[in-house]
Amino acid sequence: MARKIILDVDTGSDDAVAIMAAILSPDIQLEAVCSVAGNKDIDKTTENTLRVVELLGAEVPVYRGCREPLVKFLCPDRLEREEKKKVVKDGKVVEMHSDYLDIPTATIREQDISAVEFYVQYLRQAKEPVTLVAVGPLTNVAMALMVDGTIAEKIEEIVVMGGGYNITNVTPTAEFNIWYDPEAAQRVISSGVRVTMVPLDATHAACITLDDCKRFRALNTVSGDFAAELCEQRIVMHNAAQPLDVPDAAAVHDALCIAYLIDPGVLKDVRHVHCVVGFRDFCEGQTIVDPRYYTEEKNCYYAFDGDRFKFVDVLCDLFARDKRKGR
Amino acid sequence: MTKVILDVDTGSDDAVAIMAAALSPEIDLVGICTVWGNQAIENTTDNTLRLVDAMGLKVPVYKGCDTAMVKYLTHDYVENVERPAVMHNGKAFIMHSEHLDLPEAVSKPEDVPAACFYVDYLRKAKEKVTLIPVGPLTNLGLALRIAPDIVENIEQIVVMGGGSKITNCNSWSESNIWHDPEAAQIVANCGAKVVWVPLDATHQACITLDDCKRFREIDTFPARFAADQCEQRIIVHNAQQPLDIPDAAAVHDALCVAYVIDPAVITDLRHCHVEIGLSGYGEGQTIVDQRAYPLEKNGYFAYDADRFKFVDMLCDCFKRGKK
Amino acid sequence: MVEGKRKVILDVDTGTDDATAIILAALAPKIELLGITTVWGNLPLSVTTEQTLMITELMKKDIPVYVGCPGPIARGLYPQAHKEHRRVAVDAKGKEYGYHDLFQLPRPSAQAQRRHGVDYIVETCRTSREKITLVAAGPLTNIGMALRIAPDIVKNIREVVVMGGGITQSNSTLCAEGNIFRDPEAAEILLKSGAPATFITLDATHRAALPVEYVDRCRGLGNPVGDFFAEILRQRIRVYNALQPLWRGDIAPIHDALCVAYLLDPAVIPDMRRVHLNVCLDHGNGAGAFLIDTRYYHLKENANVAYDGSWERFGEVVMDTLEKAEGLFWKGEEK
Repeated sequence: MARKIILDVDTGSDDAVAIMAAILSPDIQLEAVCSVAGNKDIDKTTENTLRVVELLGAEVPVYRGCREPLVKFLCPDRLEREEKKKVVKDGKVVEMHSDYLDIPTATIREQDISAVEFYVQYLRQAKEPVTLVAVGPLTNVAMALMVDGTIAEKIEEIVVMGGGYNITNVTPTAEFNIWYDPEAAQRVISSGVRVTMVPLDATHAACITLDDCKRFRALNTVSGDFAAELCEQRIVMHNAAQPLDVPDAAAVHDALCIAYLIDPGVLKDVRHVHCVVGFRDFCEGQTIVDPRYYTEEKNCYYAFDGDRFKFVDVLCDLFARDKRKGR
Repeated sequence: MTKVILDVDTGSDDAVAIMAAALSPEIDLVGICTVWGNQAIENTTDNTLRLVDAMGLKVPVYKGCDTAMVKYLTHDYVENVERPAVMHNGKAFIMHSEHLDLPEAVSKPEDVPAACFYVDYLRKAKEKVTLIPVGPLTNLGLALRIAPDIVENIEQIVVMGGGSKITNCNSWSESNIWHDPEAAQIVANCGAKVVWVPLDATHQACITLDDCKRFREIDTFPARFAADQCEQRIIVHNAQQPLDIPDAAAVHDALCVAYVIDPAVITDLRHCHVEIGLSGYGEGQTIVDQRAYPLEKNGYFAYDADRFKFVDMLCDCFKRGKK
Repeated sequence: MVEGKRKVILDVDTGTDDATAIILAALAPKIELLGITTVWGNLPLSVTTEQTLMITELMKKDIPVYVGCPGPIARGLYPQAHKEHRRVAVDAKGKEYGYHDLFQLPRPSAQAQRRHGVDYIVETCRTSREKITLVAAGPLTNIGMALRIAPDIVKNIREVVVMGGGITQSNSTLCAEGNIFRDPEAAEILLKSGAPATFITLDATHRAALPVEYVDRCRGLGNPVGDFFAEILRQRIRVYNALQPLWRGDIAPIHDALCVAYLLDPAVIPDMRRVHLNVCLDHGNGAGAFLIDTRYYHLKENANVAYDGSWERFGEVVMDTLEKAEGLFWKGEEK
């Protein structure tokens, strides 16, 4: 039985790979994709999401989500991001996420109602449990839970791309998604729903290399080629600003969350832990995991490692199912 | 000999640190400042004076602050849960007794408050001084704000505090830093050489029941007293914070003194960027920037220590004590 | 009420209005000015110290000056602090002019004392036979530090008169006055210490702003100190007209002098109320704001707060005091 999921994205290079993986997998029934502000503003993330859905010719409704975090931007005293290093390759500026994905402009449109309304309506009348896969800031999911807390009963699991224990990216203590909307993350973790965190500790371990990109291209499919292109862009960025343990490699965080639903073995060292999210100054956006012998009450599952070989196998398998021939 | 000022909240492990510093031929202990923390300032000062008298030391004691610099001005902090006392053989044990089991003090603290002593002494100092604060950093934080120029005469500040992947008083912090985060942040960025000796190191350099037996065999006053303190700590650790080695306890403060005597006792010291969490969840956390391109490095963080060397060093010190 | 000379330590971030406070305190027969401690604030510590020495030298008075703290107790530790709004006025020639340009005075030959200002406050309060009055004309850093280091000194403090805060008036940000905004923690330490605290707020100083007629009246005294005072007032009126027009044109508050005037004649504050006061320690929009409990069942009172000021009484106190300047021979330069 295919697992029903709703994907929440801020497309985004790795979000794009995740969307394609979800569409192509026979084990997953993608009910909808919701966009949120994060990597880029809501207009761009919505447009990019529509482009990817249309590229694969999928009949999946797209809902536009929240354009700002719950409360963070209301106050002048919240931490500003440090200056990003500008990375230039072959005379061009390279970013982790382009403003617009390099695929045709979308002709399909998003649905009329907002993502938050969709979550509430859909989950209220859902007959079977649904998995939420949130790979952008958690604003939509937190809002939906606040609008109607009873929807929690219909959610089987929330898989969250976010956080970091030994590894961080946007500040010394935080990973981007959780940093962007810390209050939303805290809401989700303390919601009572089963939450699986897929943090940088897992995603950096389950990295994609240049050789893996060659494997994707060898499949000669539209999705395989596009994924390779996105991964190669990310590898340039990682090499310049966040080198991994494996050379010429990149984390493709969001896709790992989809791969987990197909083969849970891609996540290693998953522990039941107590986690809270820091809100203020230096610890803003930090996923604080209780390391003590006698911990506070455990409230989520946290993956401390990942398996990159299994991950690539899952992705190759999926891209191979794509009927459209390569670009 | 290195000139040293100790800053203590005596305290079981503070007591061991004071004795080690007083007995080591490498250290010239020029003053002891007291601070609130493990107990109220009246008790930590009294305990320090009791020990100074029991050891027959001629070291001036300066009474310090009774609360954090600014932390308790608002209610805006996460409450800590007090751990109950541990019952063992019908007696109640806590990590730090209100009163050390020593005769009442005869000596009195100096008139000058601790923070003023730091400013005065360091401004006039002819040679650089090593500071070893092993309690909340309140006195030093205030002194550095009052007179930031004193860093010129500071050789290094060896801080007992913090933890990278080990914490104790709540899920993100260690007690000393949690007690006064702003003071710690001031020290972290003051410009002097700061060496953090956190739980990551002190839990490795633990003292076992067998080590206590070795102390008792030496049979001097400091050796016997240290054994008492360590055995008390082992009981509490076993019940509340079991270490990797059974029947063992961290004796944090003494490790800082040992490092000053011989830095080789810390086996993994890394130059890094350290910041202190200042509010809400994460308050009192020692944040080490572990990214590939970290922020500017401002301190040294100890990740591991050699417990065998540590015990040997303590034994060397205790042998020099009186009977 | 204790009659006779009042023992005072003045804490300043000189500053034009601090200069006027020093002058009044040095001249007033009812005040025994024991010493002056300098603090950062309007200007960096090195400048406020030098300018303080300029004034004491001008006054030909042997008042010891102690250097205090260079920055606030804890503000600035946080990664993103709410910023003060600093406006600067520009004249027709494009030259900037501000509240605290202390025009040409000779560089002081006197030096500050070696002892730290905070240490001086602690020691004096501990050892004095009579209770001490502290007048805080800058951020409360020195005083907050002293109270934190030696809380016992409250027993020997008669009053702390603070230039600070505002009930309906603000200047640094939309809700805070400068001295309190610069070190809110120090202010809160004072409020929790138990020391008797009196706040001369912007509400008082803005009402007690002296009109331009006093420029001529001060000059008319015919002594160099009166001339100097006149120049300060004239300059401040110019800046206020440009940057902070008040309830009437051509007037300027001299905040710190009003604090000293209050010691000489409490009627300069016709509406002083005993309240429960806290200072907002946020880092956001509310940073440094005065929080007064106005409820019927309010928290226990902990401060006196000035709700109004009288410029007529203030003007009288200033004129009376300045008349007492004798044997001073500094010539002011015409602008």
